[in-house]
Parts: sequence; C-alpha cells; structure tokens
Amino acid sequence: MFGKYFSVLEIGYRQSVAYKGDFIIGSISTLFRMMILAYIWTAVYQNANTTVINGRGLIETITYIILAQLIWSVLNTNLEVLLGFKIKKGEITRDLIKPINFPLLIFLDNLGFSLFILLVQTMPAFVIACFMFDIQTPASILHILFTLLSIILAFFIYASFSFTIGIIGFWAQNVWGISLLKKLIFNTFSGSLVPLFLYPPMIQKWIYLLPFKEIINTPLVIYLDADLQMILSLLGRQLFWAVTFFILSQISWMYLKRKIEILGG
Amino acid sequence: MSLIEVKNITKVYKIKPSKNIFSLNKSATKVNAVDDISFKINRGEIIGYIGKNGAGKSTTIKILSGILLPTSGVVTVDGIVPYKNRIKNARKIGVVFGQRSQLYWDLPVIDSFCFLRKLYQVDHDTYQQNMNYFDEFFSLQDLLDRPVRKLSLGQRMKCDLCAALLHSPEILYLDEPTIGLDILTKNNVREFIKKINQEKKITVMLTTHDIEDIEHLSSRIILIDQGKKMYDGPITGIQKHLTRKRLIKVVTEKPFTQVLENIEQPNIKECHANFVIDLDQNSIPNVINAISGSNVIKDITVQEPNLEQILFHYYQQIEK
Amino acid sequence: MYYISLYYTAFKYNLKSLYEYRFDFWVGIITLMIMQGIGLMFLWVIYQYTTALSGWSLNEVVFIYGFQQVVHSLYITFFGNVTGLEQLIKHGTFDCYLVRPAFPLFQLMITKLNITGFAGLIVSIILLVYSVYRIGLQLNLAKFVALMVFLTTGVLIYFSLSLIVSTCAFWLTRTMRLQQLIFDFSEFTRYPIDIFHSGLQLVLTVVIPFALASYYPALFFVKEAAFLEISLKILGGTLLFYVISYRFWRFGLKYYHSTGT
Repeated sequence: MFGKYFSVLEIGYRQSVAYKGDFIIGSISTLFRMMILAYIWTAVYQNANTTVINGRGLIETITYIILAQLIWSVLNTNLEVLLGFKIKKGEITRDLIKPINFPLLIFLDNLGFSLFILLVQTMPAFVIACFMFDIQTPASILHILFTLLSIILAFFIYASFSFTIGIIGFWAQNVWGISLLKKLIFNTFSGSLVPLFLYPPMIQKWIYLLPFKEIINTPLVIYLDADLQMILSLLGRQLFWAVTFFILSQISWMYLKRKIEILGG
Repeated sequence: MSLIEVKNITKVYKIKPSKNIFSLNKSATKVNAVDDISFKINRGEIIGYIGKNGAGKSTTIKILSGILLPTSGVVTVDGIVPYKNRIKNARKIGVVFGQRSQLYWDLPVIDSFCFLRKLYQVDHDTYQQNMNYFDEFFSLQDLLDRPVRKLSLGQRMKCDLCAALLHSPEILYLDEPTIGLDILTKNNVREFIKKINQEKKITVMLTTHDIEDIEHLSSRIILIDQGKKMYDGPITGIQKHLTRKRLIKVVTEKPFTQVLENIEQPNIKECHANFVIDLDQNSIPNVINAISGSNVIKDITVQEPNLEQILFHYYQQIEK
Repeated sequence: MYYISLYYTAFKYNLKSLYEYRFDFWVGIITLMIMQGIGLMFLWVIYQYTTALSGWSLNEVVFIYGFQQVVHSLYITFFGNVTGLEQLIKHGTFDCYLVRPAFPLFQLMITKLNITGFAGLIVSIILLVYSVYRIGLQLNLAKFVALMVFLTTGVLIYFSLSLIVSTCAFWLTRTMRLQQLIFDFSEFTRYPIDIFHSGLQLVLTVVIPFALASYYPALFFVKEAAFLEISLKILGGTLLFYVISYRFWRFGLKYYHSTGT
C-alpha cells in the first residue's frame, strides 16, 4: 500500500545523490551563512557591552541562528518550481494518470530531497559550526522530541504553503518571481535571517501576528526554553496553521485539477 | 607555390583511462587523431575532405584554422603558420562549423553582420559590395531584420555562410555545411559555394558526410581514415567504386540459404539478407530471379549506398 | 583603438539584446530592490542595540555594503561572461572565437550583457550615493578620482578571481559550483571584516582577497586611513592577482591549443 509512495521518496533521494559535488558547495555556503550571522551578533553583544539583549544571552542567540540555518536549509526546497516545471512540461498529465495522489507525490518527492539535504549538506555544516561556536544544549530529551515534532509540522506548513504558491504562480504565469518573493518574505519574518526576539519590540509585535514565524521561530522557542504548558500551546498553534494551509493547498489543487481537466494540460 | 601546404602533420591525443584523480593507473593511452598527413592545396580549388566520424577531419580543420597545435609537422597557409600567427591567419580565412552559429541569437541578423564588420575591420565599400553580392544570390533582405532565433536552420546556415565571407577571406573552411538541411536548401548552399569559388576565387575545403556535396562541388577529394590519408585525387578515381554499386535488402519467407555469384559482403540473418552488388558484373533482375527461384521474396529494397557504406567498401579494397 | 570601438559596438548590440528581455529586467530590479531593502533592514536591526560594530557606525557599514554591491554589479555587468567559458567550450562556440582576428579573452568578455548585473548596478549605485551623503563624505576631486580607481581595482579583483576559476574549464567540465564557492567568500566582505575571526580576515585579504575590493577602500574613505598604505595594499594585490589570473588564462589557452576538447 505504502510501497509505491516509499519508492517515490527513494527516487527523490537517489536523484539528489547524482549531484553530490553541488551539495559539498551547498554545505560550505550554509556554514558561511551561519558564520557571518554568528560573528555579527557576537560583535553586537560585545559592542553593546551587555550580556542580555531583549532577555536573551549571546549563547541563546547563536544557538538560535545556527539551528535556524539548519532548519531553513532543509525546508527551503523548490517545491513550487518543481510544480511549475511539471505543469509547464506537461509532466503533470502523466503523473495524474498514475494511481497516486498527486499532491502527496510532490510532497514526498520534496521530503526525499529535504532528507538528503539534511544528511549531506546541512549536517556537516552544523557539526563544524558546533565546534566553532558555543551552543546551548537542550534542556531535556523531551525538548528534543517536541522540537523535532515541531519541525515536522513546520515542514508540512511550508510545503503546503509552497504548493499553494506554485499554483498561484501557474495562474500568474510567473513562478520564478513569486517563488523568490515568497523566499524573501519567509527569510525576513520566520527568524532565519534575524532571530525574531532581536527585532525591536515594536516590530516584533507585528511579526508575531503573521504565520511565517511558525516554521523556524516556533521550533526554536520550544528548543530554547519553553515549559510544557507553553510547548503544548505552541504546538497547538502550529497545528492550527498546518490545517489552515493544508485546506488552502487542497482548494488550489482542486482548482488546478479542474483547469487541467478542461484544458487537457 | 601552393596556397595551403601540409607536411607530415601528426596530432596525438592523450586519453586518460579514468576521470577519477585518485585512480592509480595514471598511464594515458595515446591516440593519433591525425597521423602523418601531407597534402597541398592550390588557390581556387574545392577540396572535399571526407572520412568516417572520428577519422580526424575536424582535427585537421582545427589545425589549419589555427585552433589546434599539431604534435609534429608543419602547416603553412599562404606563407603563414596558422597556430603561430593565429590572428594574421584569421583575417584570411572564413570558417563555418556546421552546427554552431556565430550570430547573435536574439538580434536581427544585420546586427551580427555589423559587429563582424567591426571585428574584421571591413571597410564600407567592401562590405556593401559583399552584401549586395550575397543578397543577389540568397535574397538576404528578407532575413536581415529577423532575429536569428526565429530563422529556420537553412536560413541560419545561409546567414552563417555570409557572415564567414563578409571580410572576403581567401580560404573558406566548412565543417559539414549541409548537415540537417532540406534538399532545396542544400542545393542552394552548394550552388553558392560553387559560385563564390568560381567568381571570387575563394579556395574551399569542406568536410561532409553527404556524397552529393562532393559530387556537386569538388573535383578533388582527400579521404582519411583513423588519421591516415587513404586517398588523394580526383573524385573520378573512386567514383567507379561509388556509382555502380547497389545495396539490396531482402526479406524472404524461408531462411535465406542461397549462395549467389558475384556478391560482395553478404550479411545474412535468417530471413533477412543485405548485400552489395556491382552493376558491371550483375544486374538487379538477375539477383531477384536467382532468389525467387527457391524462395519467396516478401520485401525488397534497392539503395544506392551512402558515403559511409561506400567508404567501408573502399577501405576493404585498399586493405586487400 | 580597434578594441575600444569593437567594445562599443558589442556593447550597443548587447544592450539591444537585453531589450528583448525587458520584462525580466524589471522583475530583476524589483527583486533586487527588495533584497537590498532587507539587507539594509538587517543592518538597521543590528544597530538598534549598539552604535558601533568594531568602531563602524551604521552609515559606515552601509558604505562598505554599497561599495561591495557596486563592485559586484560592475563585475557581473562587464566581466560576468567569463564564467560562461565552460558553456562556450562545451558547445564549441569557443572555437568560433579562436578563428576570429581578436583576442579570445576580449571576445569572451563581450559575449553579452548580464541582466541582473545591470539591474543591480542601478540599485547599488543609489545605495552607495546615499551612504556617501549620510556619512557626509566630502568628495573633492582627489577623493573622487580615488573612488573611481578603487572601484576599478575592486572590479579587477573580482574579475581576476573569476578568471582563475573559469580558466579551470579548460581542464574540468564544470566550474560553476567552484565559482559559487569562491564568490560565497565575497559575502563576508559586505561587513567590516574586523568582526570576523583573524584567520578569516587573513584569508579575505591575502588568499581570496575580496576585502581589497570593499573593506580596504572603505578604510581609506571612511576611517581616513593613510592613503599610501591602503593604496599600496590594494594596487599591489590587484596587480598581483591580475597578473596571476592572466598568466593562468594564457596557460590554459595554450593547453587548449594543444589538446582541443
């Protein structure tokens, strides 16, 4: 029953192995980004002559930055570009014939790719970064498990969102531009560029109203210090956004399917 | 004195056994892409330079045009050694590599011409004269304002030919100029090459797989195989091998077992038989009669052998 | 003179080619403006908590940032084609260049104009001019000339490093990834390099000297470091890397002449 889906996952993984040279470079790029951000904030703490900014110490900040890069580099795949490509090349009609749920197919393809990125690209960078900088160890095993759960939810949120964006891109006939815009927005408001607690409080207030924080800030807040009650409420909120984006992606998928059935791809 | 003199050139390529830098076996095998070739070409000739894929045709053209350095031997083109004096040689030659264009992809053809005019420093009068000359033959006016990407392959080839001739070169090297073109365009291109050769006295050297190119254009061919020169002389020298042969493919009902007389190279697989007959020694009706005497012919095709097949036979004969 | 007029002609036609992609041009401009905007916002957030990073104020860092962006965009616009060598060799177009009577490297440079570079140039020049205004930098004639010279040497540094990597295309089939790796280092030099580890500072000054293209010029203009010392460092480094890259290019070309593809 799940064998066929598993094979899709495996293919996504295998295709990626062919480009291992690219991933070594990708790994170094990830490390560089971790380094730039960590050095900059170290300098800020030193120059500000303080150990605490907005209630967070340097170690917490650096832990946040490095883990944020870790999560971001795993999430940040090109699902909508893949989708746009499939629609454009007419591959989607071929996939629709297969006895497989198409959104699930794309999702698994993406998951295979992400797992691979995690393994060969992000992990090496992360390990090196751990040697270079002080990183806060998790408070308990439970915190690790809840963080992982939260990252899985984050992956689901981001994939659903990307899927919807891909279909909007198809409708607007410019996937590339919209995809870039999406990345820039997530980059700014999720915590991947600047830890959200480091934004000036006035701006933080607005950013916390947006859903983008769920993919990076929420898992990291759980990792850093949340107590059980707070963790549960954070996960509950994430679940709410996951369901919302899932429904959105299903609606847009239905729209696309009808379009394809009428136009014949 | 000849325009182009090639003396004993050899080009050795080293082929590494594996791309892996860690592989222990570092010894590279050497391949002679061009092996001790000599020839002379006089002003105004059209030379057909033929051979199988990988025979060394392109390598020779690259050495003559100054792109490649020969491992040994000497080449002079109008007194210049092309690979030592690349730029001076480049002004005297025009080159068209069949499948790649040197025109600006997104711009109208005329813009590429203007750019090349600057690059080759062609003066206004020569440029105008040449353009009128090309236009008379190809009616370029209709094409000049169109972006290159919107031209058909044939139209692009015409424009590429003209681009290579803008600076009135003395020598034109053509690497498979008619590849992929339709028959009308092929003829058109051939006529044009013939015309510039006769009227402008441009020496032409072309490589091709198309036997008709050779038949239409060149009185002299140079044939190479595995880097070695196999034949150099008038086309009539091997023409008798060429035009009197037919390739016959037969499909029969029962397995083909007959032994036919005067047949070269029969290639039989059960009910399918391919063979070449020489019309001077045999005739097609005779062959058909001979086969249908003891078998039933389900299908039969008669072809003039293409260049590859002819060359194949030719090589076999010289080896004998 | 021949090359100048040829460059002008090619520039004219390349610009015309760009016009075919004017939609991409506007998309490029808008995205680059947003990206630069985010970059600036990032700097602004940092300076909410401190007035200086290793002695550099916000506007001074914007100067480094802008200077690097201008250099990078100029490099992409005028020399970015160098990175396309691998494609030219792969498709055999490079042979066409070799049968023409002009230097191959020159022809490589004028293959096309890069659209993102051109869009980035406009955005980054605005950024640099803005920071000059905010710092209150008095650009007299001498300083203006120095600015132009250091922009030029900066572009030459980028060009040289890129040429070294591109030349590897004579031996390797793919150089794009290596190119990206080298240019990832340039991201460090958008910020004052004093904040990085001293080993990294050394790498950025001596081994992959992107700092010579943005940080050291800023030292002179903003920190009023001694002109002689700075310019010797920059000019010496530029000359050295330019000579190395050009020698390497000649070497690669010679290799190509003797082996083909």
